[in-house]
Amino acid sequence: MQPRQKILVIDDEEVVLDSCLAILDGAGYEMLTATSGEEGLRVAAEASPDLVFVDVKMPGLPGLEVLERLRVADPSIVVVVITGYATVSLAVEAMKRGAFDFLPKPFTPDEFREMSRRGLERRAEVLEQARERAVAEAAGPVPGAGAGPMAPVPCRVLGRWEETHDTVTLALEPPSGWRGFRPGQFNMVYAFGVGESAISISGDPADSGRLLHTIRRVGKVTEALAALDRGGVVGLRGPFGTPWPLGYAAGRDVVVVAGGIGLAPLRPVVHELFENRDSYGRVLILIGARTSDDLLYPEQIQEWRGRFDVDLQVTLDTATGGWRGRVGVVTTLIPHAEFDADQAVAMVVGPEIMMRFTAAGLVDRGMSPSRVYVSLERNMKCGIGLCGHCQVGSKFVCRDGAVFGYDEAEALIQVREV
Amino acid sequence: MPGLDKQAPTPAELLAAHPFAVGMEEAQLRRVADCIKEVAEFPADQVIFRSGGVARSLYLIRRGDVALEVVAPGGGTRIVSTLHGGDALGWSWMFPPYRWAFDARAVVPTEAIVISGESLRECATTDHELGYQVVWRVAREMADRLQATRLQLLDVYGAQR
Repeated sequence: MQPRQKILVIDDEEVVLDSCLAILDGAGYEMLTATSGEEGLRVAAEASPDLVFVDVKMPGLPGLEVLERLRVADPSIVVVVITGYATVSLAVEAMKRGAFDFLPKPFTPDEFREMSRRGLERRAEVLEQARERAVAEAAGPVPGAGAGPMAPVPCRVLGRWEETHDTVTLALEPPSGWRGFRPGQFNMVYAFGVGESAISISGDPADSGRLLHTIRRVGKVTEALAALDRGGVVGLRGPFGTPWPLGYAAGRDVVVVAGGIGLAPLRPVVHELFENRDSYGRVLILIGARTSDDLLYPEQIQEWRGRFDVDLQVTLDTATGGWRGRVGVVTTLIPHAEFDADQAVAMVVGPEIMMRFTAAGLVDRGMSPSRVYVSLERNMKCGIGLCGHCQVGSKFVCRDGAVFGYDEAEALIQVREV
Repeated sequence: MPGLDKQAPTPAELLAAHPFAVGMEEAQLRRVADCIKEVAEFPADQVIFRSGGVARSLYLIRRGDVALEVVAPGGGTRIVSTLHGGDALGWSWMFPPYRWAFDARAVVPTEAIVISGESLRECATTDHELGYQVVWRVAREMADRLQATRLQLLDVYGAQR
């Protein structure tokens, strides 16, 4: 039997506490209350609640301070700030300090119930992500760990092929000690004498004999990597980063949306979905590309399209008269796609503009932003949250992501540059 | 066998089932249904209308795919976008000079409810509530396509964004 989820409400007004208890009476949660910030922290330390509602304006320890201390004690805790003094600046401050959401007083029973439901759903997702991260870290120690996480390990190029006019795939020999990766993780790939770049792993997680990286030529490092041929050598560190929430997605419909090179970090997801096809509901793969010549992995797409248990759609931004498929941006596929928005999980990768509009389209369909996952992959340099290049707000993309729920990522995307 | 024949749906029933008509009242549906010219089948590659031609109809696509195309001198045919079952094709019948701006071609066998644009304009002029319903739907369709077109123009995959 699953232990009951615990909700702690911290508010100096007892009438508010009584109302909250009454609203969720019989809902199956273990309810805890505290009338001050200090008491709330003590109760939280003893009971480890899943979700905390904290009033922002209380005598003694202020609510935002309580929020911060709760998050330090347990980074996975989900905290909702409630206040009768709702202002935009306070909401922004609360979110910056790690609040999941903001509930202005007075609130209705339905609003409180819905916020509780969403908060606990978020908690389940956070715990699942932590579990997947632990599995990933256990499976894949940093190659060359003895020399430290910043030391790249030499890796031989087993093969190389052109995918499109500006993109190649390198097949690397996995380094000694390599114990696999989880879909969504990336390696830092070093072109000797030139520099290092964060590149998603684009192959099948079950293929232990080679490690695939699909690389688009966009700068000196990727140019140098793409120019390597069979027998060449790269340096490798990894795998790093949060995997896609495939465990959390089990039993649900899964919507994979890839734009351009974004199909590369999602291809391992597709492999895993097909490998464990019975574990998922409907599987939709929506792919957008600039032209037919820019479409990644066309033969594999053809193979996937032939499956009876997947709905795969490809759309191009522009096409000539010979193209028999769809033309239009990838977001146009979302309104008619058949999936259960109440429970589906989406995994989206592409340029940030494309991810923003795709996430908006999915949320318009009724999906919770917390079930829409995106991969940010911004400015990653060290891979271990050390150098700060990829810091956006309070997050290090390489360490805390690159996979984020859109409820978190939306604010990060608003940060124009790091 | 008598009693077992399944009657084909009437054009009015097909109209009522199309997303364009969802939310219209019975009386409004009847008036729009009176404007239906036919339920047309277009084989693959048949041109439905050509750029510059007189825009006489609204096409509510029931099934199939339609490419909106433009011929670029020296550049061949470019597909601007494609429309699919459930979409509405063509709004040039609404505004003077009532001329199509693009070519429309069925990419695969396609079926569409063809509604007289002139009749629909007349209905909208005499029944403003119906007119609002029609214009609201066309405006929503235009807004969606405008947003999609803006994204296309951004060419987000063309360079690192």
